[in-house]
Amino acid sequence: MIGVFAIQGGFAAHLKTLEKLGVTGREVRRADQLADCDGLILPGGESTTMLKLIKAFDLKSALDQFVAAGRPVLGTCAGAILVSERVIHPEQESLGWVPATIERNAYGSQVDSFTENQSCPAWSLDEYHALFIRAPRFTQVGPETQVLTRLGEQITGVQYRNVTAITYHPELTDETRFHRAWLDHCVYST
Amino acid sequence: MKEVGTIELKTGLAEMLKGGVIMDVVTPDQARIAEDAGAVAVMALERVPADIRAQGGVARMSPPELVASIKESVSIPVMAKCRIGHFVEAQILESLGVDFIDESEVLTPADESNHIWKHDFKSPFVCGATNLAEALRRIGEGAALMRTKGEAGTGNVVEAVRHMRSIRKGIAELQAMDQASLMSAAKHMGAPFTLVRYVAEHGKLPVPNFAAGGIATPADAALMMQLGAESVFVGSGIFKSGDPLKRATAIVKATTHFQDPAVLAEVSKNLGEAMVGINISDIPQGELLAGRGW
Repeated sequence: MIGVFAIQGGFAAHLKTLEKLGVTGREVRRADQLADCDGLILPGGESTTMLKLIKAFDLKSALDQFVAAGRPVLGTCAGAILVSERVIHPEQESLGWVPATIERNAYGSQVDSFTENQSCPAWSLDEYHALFIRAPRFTQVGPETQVLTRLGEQITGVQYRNVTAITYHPELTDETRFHRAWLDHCVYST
Repeated sequence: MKEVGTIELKTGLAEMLKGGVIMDVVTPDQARIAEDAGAVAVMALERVPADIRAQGGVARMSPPELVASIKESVSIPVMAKCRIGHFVEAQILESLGVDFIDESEVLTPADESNHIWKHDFKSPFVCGATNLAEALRRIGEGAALMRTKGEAGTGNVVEAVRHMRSIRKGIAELQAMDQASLMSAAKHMGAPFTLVRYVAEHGKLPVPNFAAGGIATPADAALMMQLGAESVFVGSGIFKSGDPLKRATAIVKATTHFQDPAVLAEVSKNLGEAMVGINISDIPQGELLAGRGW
């Protein structure tokens, strides 16, 4: 079972994608709901709102333990902001699991949002459709952080140990290949 | 190939606002309070609906300098309202880089027959609806997000409840119909057939559906969420209350944990004065906002 962090944001679309793949998903709003999850998706949404709610309901230690135990996490858009060590534009706190710097709203406001194809050679994924919605971008990554996807020269997807982070939304398309690959490579790999 | 302004990008932003609270603000300071409280977006207004209602006169789009200053003061999405049918106000808001445009009955309508053709814009639009047919007409015109058309500025949630229940009932009725009945349903509803068929097949609108109008307490927000709203707009309810930051924070928490009465009880404690509120039956028929648009 895959948990989808549902305190705010685009959790419904991830759950729908998991359903299409025949994988059970669960909305996670409380720490105890993490217990039997094989992996966790942090969806897009507003990272500021999520941070407030993580604090207000004291969820940080449970999330930290989940990651420290080596269980896989996928952060998309706001989720990628949450997992990055340093956040700029503006500076804000984060969960800080991935040695990387990420810039919020890096491409502008909603009128600048765009769709573009992405490919992920490390996971043998040919071009798939991706939505960049008020998207962030990685401006710097640590030496041990693996780059998974790029948009031109810009880094749009990274992996560090059991945490994967992408700045875009594969879950808002009809395709399921990205989620399938994450499940195969990071969650149910043998 | 790079594309911008597609309907999937528009509804995509609406997806990201789910489980959140969008708050009306009239100054950059209020916008920062809203962001601090955990709002997922702010609606930049010159006057909150309660004041528009009290002061009367023609209510128009907010001044561009106000929208721009609010946009500069926060990192979350900024929405702004234009009048129903006033596509030039919408063009101006789009050029200001507003993240969502609300074609709103709270402002004085500019066109008695036509809503804006929203497909022409890169900015996504949110529109209000009192029932399913109205929602499908707006979606047909290109709305990327729907909301109820509860009586803004009243602090009275009864109309939003009516609209949400009406939309749910309409969806259930379409789902129960056989294929042959759907064309007739579309004819009677005055709604686009393809959208009628979509709803019958999927049991939901093709875009997210939020609640708006008269929400004043954490319990109001949770009520709308339990009735099927995917997020809530709170207008006058916050900054017309005794302690805006506290109330705003409580409504944010209630929207996340809308199914957890223990959390709702906890966050509802010691919030200070709620806005006074108005009974719908005390409002003269001609001053009801839900009747604006069609």
